[in-house]
Amino acid sequence: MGKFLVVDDSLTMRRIVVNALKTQGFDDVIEAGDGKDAVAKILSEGAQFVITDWNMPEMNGLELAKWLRSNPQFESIPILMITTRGNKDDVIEAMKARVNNYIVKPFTPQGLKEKIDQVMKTAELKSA
Amino acid sequence: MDSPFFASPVNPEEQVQRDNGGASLKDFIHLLHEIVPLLENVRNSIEESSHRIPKATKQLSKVNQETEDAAVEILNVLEAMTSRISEAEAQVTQLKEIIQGFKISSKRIADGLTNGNAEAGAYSSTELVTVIVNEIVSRIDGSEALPAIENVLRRTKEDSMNIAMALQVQDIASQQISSVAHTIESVEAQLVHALSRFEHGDTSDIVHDNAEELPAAPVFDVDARYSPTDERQDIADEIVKQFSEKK
Repeated sequence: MGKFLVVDDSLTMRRIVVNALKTQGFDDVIEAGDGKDAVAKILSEGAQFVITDWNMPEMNGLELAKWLRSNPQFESIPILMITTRGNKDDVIEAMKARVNNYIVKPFTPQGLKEKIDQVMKTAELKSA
Repeated sequence: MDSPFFASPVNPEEQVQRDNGGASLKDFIHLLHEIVPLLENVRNSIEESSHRIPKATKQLSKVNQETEDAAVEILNVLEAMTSRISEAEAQVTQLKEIIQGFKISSKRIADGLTNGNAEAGAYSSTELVTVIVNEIVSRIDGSEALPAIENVLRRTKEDSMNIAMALQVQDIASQQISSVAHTIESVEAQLVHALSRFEHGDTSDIVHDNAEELPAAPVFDVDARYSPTDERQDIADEIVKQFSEKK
């Protein structure tokens, strides 16, 4: 798997997610503090998998997902949303913005691994 | 001292005011007409604000409860870790004994080889080495210390991860506190606005007029909660599944 981009305005959350990824063997990870920062990182460094929070200043996770999906160069990058927003309507809105999977905080390392595996499997099936 | 029976001497200016008593009463009634709607607006504003305070209080109690839950979760993991580390210490003591035995055995081999008379002639030098090495191997194989230590290390690693996960409460509590802070700022803004209008004699509807003047909502999830149960995740999974099937 290529480079992961972890987007969250909470430094604590970024460290937790990055730590969980590295424990699972995903060592190539970069970070961004909000959607705008994430766009800059994607354009300058690239990313093959985006894990993003929803509520963030400047540009939120939903806007980031919409930006990615509207950009032909990045529209197929898998997006996993990890957020405190666990209402049904929120999940539906995120899925309409074409995120690939959705985790409600607080998450577990097993839950994260499971969702990454699911997203990767679907991505592989699509590219096959 | 003013008294109906012992009136103080009246100065000329005061006398003029008393002569115009009718006009002052009219002014006073007119003033009351203006003040009553203003007071009504201030009252509405306070009432509106007072409804928000219990919500903020409730949210702060939730933050308190959830941070405590997370702290308890972390303490439980730490206690289990401490107990397992004590077990590991006992296993390390057992390993030390094995290493000590290995040292003694090495000395026996060295002595046998040096003297050329391995253990009072019971064995040849080669046999002696074989016997002692077998002794060492059986002692190491018989010991459960290494697998036990390995197990403790593995579980300690998992526990460290669980502690890190419990720290997600910081992000969740931070959003809840932002929400409370926003409520307090809104109440303050509304009251300041009401008082300002009162000072300027503006009788328009404060509560419904100044929504656009309240502080903009910062980025937070008002419903953020630290709930390690799977209920909300299950709902999300079901929706994700439905969308995936549609594709």
